[in-house]
Amino acid sequence: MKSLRTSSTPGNNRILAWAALGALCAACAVLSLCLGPVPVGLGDTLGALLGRGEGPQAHIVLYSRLPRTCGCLLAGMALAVSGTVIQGVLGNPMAAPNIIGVNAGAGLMTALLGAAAPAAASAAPLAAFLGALLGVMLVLGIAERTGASKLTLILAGMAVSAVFSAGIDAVVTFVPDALLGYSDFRIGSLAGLTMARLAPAAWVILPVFGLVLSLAGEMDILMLGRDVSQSLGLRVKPMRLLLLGLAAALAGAAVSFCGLLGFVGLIVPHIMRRLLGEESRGLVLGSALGGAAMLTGCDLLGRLLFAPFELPVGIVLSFVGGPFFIVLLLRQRGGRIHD
Amino acid sequence: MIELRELSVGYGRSAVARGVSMELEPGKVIALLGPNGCGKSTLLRTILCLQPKLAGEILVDGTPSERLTPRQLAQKAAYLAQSRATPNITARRMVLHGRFPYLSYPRRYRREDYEMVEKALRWADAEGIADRFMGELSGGQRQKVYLAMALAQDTQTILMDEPTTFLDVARQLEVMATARRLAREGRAVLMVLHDLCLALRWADKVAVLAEGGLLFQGTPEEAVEAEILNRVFGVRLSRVMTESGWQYYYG
Repeated sequence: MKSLRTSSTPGNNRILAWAALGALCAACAVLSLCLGPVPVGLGDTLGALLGRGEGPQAHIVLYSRLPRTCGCLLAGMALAVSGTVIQGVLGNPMAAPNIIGVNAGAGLMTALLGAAAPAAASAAPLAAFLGALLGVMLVLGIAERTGASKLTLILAGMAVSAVFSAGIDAVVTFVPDALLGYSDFRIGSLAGLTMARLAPAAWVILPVFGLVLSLAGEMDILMLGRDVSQSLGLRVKPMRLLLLGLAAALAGAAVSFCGLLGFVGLIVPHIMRRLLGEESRGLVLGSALGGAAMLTGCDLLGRLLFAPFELPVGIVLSFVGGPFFIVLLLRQRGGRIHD
Repeated sequence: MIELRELSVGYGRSAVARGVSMELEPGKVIALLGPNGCGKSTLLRTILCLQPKLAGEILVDGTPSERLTPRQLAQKAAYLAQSRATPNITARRMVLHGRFPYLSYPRRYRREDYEMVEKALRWADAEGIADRFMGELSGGQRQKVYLAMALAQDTQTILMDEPTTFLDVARQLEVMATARRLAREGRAVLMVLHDLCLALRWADKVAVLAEGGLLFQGTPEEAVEAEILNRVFGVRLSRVMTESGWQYYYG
């Protein structure tokens, strides 16, 4: 898919890239458990995880850092994989969950649920999923009616996102308690996350991720374009809708507990495509690892940079991810671009 | 075998070509000729159910094509499209996609699939580039890979939409030779061609689509004698006998 390619770096370094990704992800997770305003040693952290620790340190690891780290890993993975699927299925490098209305839709539904039924917090992932699905279907519908060019899709996404965002603001204006920590939700933050809030989303993200991986072959075929995929016996339209639905479920579930985090879903797939090539199975797995590592790393940075004050991860993500992406774009200028 | 009966093709309600009846006989290379916009590509796409037919029937081994699932149809007819996306994966991986119609969910390629891929790569003379990435290949090399992908689909009928466009003369002849070999193996090949001389020289049959329908089908000799191409294309077609058979030229 020509427009998706930022450069061709088919390399023999692929094994190295996988090893580095895995190590990076593991390192981020471990550091995220150990570091913070109160540093906890590796041994103590492990002890606490295995249920052998005592005292405030073990308490911090188990009830503050563990949910937060799990949340970062899950949300990063979900948003990045969602972005990979959306970009691949739509054949559009500009598409990402935050751009085509998925995140805003999920946010709006979460806010509505918070306003209407504050006690039903465990239903948040479901509401978020419905909102995300509504967003993506609206955008897709508008784009198809107007000719489905890559640009229309993005413009339709922006319009739908704007409406949904206004909806979130309106809900919060009338019911200020609808979203726990409104500013954190808008920026995206994982502070104060509990396992109880995380669990329902995890139950959505993990199986859906497995399902997406099992459809990697179909995604590969879709990349060949509509005609060729159909001539290979793939039912293109239902498959596209199914995959976009799964992407919406992933992003929606993530938004339900981490707020409107945008950047992961856009840049991680681009980085992974350069690192690992365009085969979907590898790309999905790599995006999961890369997204998890990136969000966990950024969250850790946000906790450490101005300790004891905390920067919400959304801010760090944009500060780190933005320049990184720009460098990527600048380097692409010299790269080969094929038809 | 695929049979067309009184088939009308086009977009929306307006037919580009009406009442097309023809048989895609196994063992024959059929060249589909006609001026721009006469519906050649549309006909191919309609046969493959990539767009709805307006009227008539498409029979695939006697079964109306609308009763076949996309997968069943993909096991009967392969398509070499005119415009194609080129994901940056290895050529071998690309050819492996041709086995997609034979797999069920979750897709796991089997040993026979890999064997078929190697065979297809040999057929298309693409073994040497099998491990290269699509992005690194020239237009002609990519064409070989796409051809190998269609061959890996292992179908009785192969539809090619302008397979010789953008190729140099030697590669054009190679494509035609491959088509002939496929026909010798008992497959039916229907190819849209713009080069009249190439078509007349290499095809077993030519079909001329023009003026809203199928004007003519027959052997190249019959086409020349009927002067149908002169009329449709506004050229004067002549031929000379050479050591390797009739060669055609126009002016």
